[in-house]
Amino acid sequence: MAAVNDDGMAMTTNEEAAPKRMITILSQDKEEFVVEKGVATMATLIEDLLADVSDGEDKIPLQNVDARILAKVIEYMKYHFKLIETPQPEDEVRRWDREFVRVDKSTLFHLVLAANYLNIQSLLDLTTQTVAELIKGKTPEQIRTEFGIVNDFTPEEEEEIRRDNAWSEDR
Amino acid sequence: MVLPECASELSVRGRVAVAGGGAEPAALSVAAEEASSPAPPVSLYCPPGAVPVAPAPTGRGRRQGRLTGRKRPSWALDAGIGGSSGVSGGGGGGGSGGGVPVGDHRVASEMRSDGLPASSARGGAVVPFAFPQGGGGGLLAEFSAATAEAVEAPGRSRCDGREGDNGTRFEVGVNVVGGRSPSGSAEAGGAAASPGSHGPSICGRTVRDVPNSGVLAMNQNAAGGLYHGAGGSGSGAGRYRASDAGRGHRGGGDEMDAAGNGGSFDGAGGGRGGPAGGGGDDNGSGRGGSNGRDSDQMMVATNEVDELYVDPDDADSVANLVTGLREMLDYVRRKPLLVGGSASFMRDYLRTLLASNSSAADVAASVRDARVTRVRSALASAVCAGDYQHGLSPPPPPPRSPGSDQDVPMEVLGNGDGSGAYGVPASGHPFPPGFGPPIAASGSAGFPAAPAGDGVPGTAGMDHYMAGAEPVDASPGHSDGALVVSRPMPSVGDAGSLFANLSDGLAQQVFSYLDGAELAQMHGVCQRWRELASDPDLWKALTLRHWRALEFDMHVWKFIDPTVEAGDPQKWRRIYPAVSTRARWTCRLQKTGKFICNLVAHHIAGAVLGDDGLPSVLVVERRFNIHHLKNFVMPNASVLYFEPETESDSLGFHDFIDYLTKRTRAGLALEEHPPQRRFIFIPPCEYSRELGYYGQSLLGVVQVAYPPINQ
Repeated sequence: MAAVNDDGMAMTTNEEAAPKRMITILSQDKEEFVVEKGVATMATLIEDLLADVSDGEDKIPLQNVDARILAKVIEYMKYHFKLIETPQPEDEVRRWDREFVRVDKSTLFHLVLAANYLNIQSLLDLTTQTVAELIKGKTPEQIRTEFGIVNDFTPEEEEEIRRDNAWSEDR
Repeated sequence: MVLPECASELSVRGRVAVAGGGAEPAALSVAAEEASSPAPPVSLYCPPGAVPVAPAPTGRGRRQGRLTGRKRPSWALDAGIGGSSGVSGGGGGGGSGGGVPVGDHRVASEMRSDGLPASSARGGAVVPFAFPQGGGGGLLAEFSAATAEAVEAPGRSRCDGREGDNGTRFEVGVNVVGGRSPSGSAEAGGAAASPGSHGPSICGRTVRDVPNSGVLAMNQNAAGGLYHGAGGSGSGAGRYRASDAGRGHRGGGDEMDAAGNGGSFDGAGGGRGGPAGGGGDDNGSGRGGSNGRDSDQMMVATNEVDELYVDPDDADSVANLVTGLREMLDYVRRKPLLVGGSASFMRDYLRTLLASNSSAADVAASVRDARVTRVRSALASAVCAGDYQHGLSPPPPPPRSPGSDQDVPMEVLGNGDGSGAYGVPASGHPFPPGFGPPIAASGSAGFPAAPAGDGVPGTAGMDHYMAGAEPVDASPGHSDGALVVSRPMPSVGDAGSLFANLSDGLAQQVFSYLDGAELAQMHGVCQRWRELASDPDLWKALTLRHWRALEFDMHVWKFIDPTVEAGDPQKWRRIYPAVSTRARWTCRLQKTGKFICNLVAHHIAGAVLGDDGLPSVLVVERRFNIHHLKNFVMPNASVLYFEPETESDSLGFHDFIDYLTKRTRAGLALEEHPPQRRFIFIPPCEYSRELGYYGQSLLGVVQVAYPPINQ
């Protein structure tokens, strides 16, 4: 099977034997993304949807993901799908993942929501962990400032919280 | 779309001079400086009490200040670039000092209609305004307004601070009270009484967030004098649309914003019955704007209006910032108890406000171009708005007060006096799709929640998650009957909305990557985070990471923190600090030559073990009868609690306990090197209960060589 791992050979063989089934994913704003079925089904939601429809149906409209985010998600799915055939060292994958989530905050949060909606566990883990990195080690004030969160505590509550969590400071 | 019959370019140059003092109304006069044709009248009109002027979707199709989307209507500085003749400057309405808004805008607008000649000429007028400043300081501002070329497309018109400069920005906020502008002559006499008002307020940018202003205005009314009057920071948004101009409203659609209302935070009492500015004056000439609303001060600020419309979602606007500030003051006002305390929450709020405002500014710049394009096409296909979320359901009702951590569509919650009725075109309104219907806030509670992020279709993709934002319960004080203003829906990328749009489950998943100290810090962010970060499962997982056996062995809890009760739902969070700081070691347990299991040892009583801790391998070489424990164990020896390190160690661990129990033996391991400590393994027995432990796990005692065991 070593030969099969050879990219070019394997692909050629496969395609001749049975053309890959392509799936069209339709973004919320009606952009079409055509991907291999294997890529598409990296998303459990799509896998489930495909299981529910007849074989002829290969168009999956997504209500909740727009083209910009979907393009990003598909990039992720493609990369990780390819890893199944041609595994990479773990470090290499981690580096790719880290690079992948190096995006602005808004995009990152939309990726979290998209990963959750599409049910791509590994992407959800990756993105939520990245969000966690954004708040790690920050004081409440810094977090409020960075994310535009309003402090809705009364002074009494603030005092209570300070008392409760005094142990966590300077750790 | 009605087009003006002829394009015109008018410019109005106004010179605002502050004169007079005290609260005396000053005369406002507008002298026409002829340009080419009849001077356009200039009128300053302020709807009463800043009652927003409805976009009167009346048959006459007149609306002033176009309201799009959830925009705030406003009273406007109608720099009337009116059509030639007929329009006479109406009396500038007086502002309202927080009085009861009585707005008969309808009337106003009708009147207006009369005067609107379809054609306009190029005209210029110099309008000197005299404003009494409290201190007698003078304010001189010149402005010019030019209506746009009224061509097919909505044109643009702007006012500028500089005289004669057409199409530029007018960035002056003026405290005006009642101005009037006699017609034809293009003279506006105004009565302005603005004690101590501050001068010009600057509106640097296009105020996009129209809704805000309107609401603020309402709020102001409701507040009626809560803030006293001197209009401090006014900011206004003026919007001129060519279409308006076409209708003779030239330049008209200005939106006034909160400040416009005159007044806010400082002092002069609201409600002074001012000279009724306007009402009477609104003579048929149509332009008068205000209906008799008196106002102590009105701040009018017009803004650049060089866009086709104003984006309702832009958080980066003067109005929005003013809203934020006002909300804070409002909040403080409703909470008298806070006055005596620390101002830290105010500092936080201000910081937050600044942060979100500046991030909105960044976003605004990038989004702007695209928006213009979209709107053009939207205009072309004049579809009615209304479809907001691409099939998503409309967002839940927004939080209603400043306390929330998310941005929501503007909403006005009833002030009950019906004063705030904004006109709502029921259908077929002329606004381009995506702008949504104008705000309807009829007196009482809300109008249909404006679609969140219902901007232009093209942006919906980015916004759709917003629709799912969970309502945050609001805050303090929303039940006290005062108007409550909530913040506008964020524009794409507004940092403030990011966390708000994560479900609790997702937020908790994020939190699950934090350690205990970090998670504890999250409590201090806001109420929602406090709630989320109190989740017992998160704390349980964190705790068990340190001490797995705590899940099942309740008997050892009291050694860790005796104040934590087993029935407390927050017991995990409460026990965590003690667990996480408690010394623990892992080591490999062997009987002579034979691996038993990997252990985790937790210190639970007695002397601390010191830097040496536990050796990495403990070999049980001997055993002795547990009845001798009393004699062997020294007072204040270190007491340890052992647990298997992982599930796979459980079997060996429990076998070892069984082995000792059956033989009523304790195990003993010795340290070869100084200080030659003894490690005694104690199965559940009488002695362990004497130590206070009633569970079934393995305890340990660590002591130095005495008493001699080997003899």
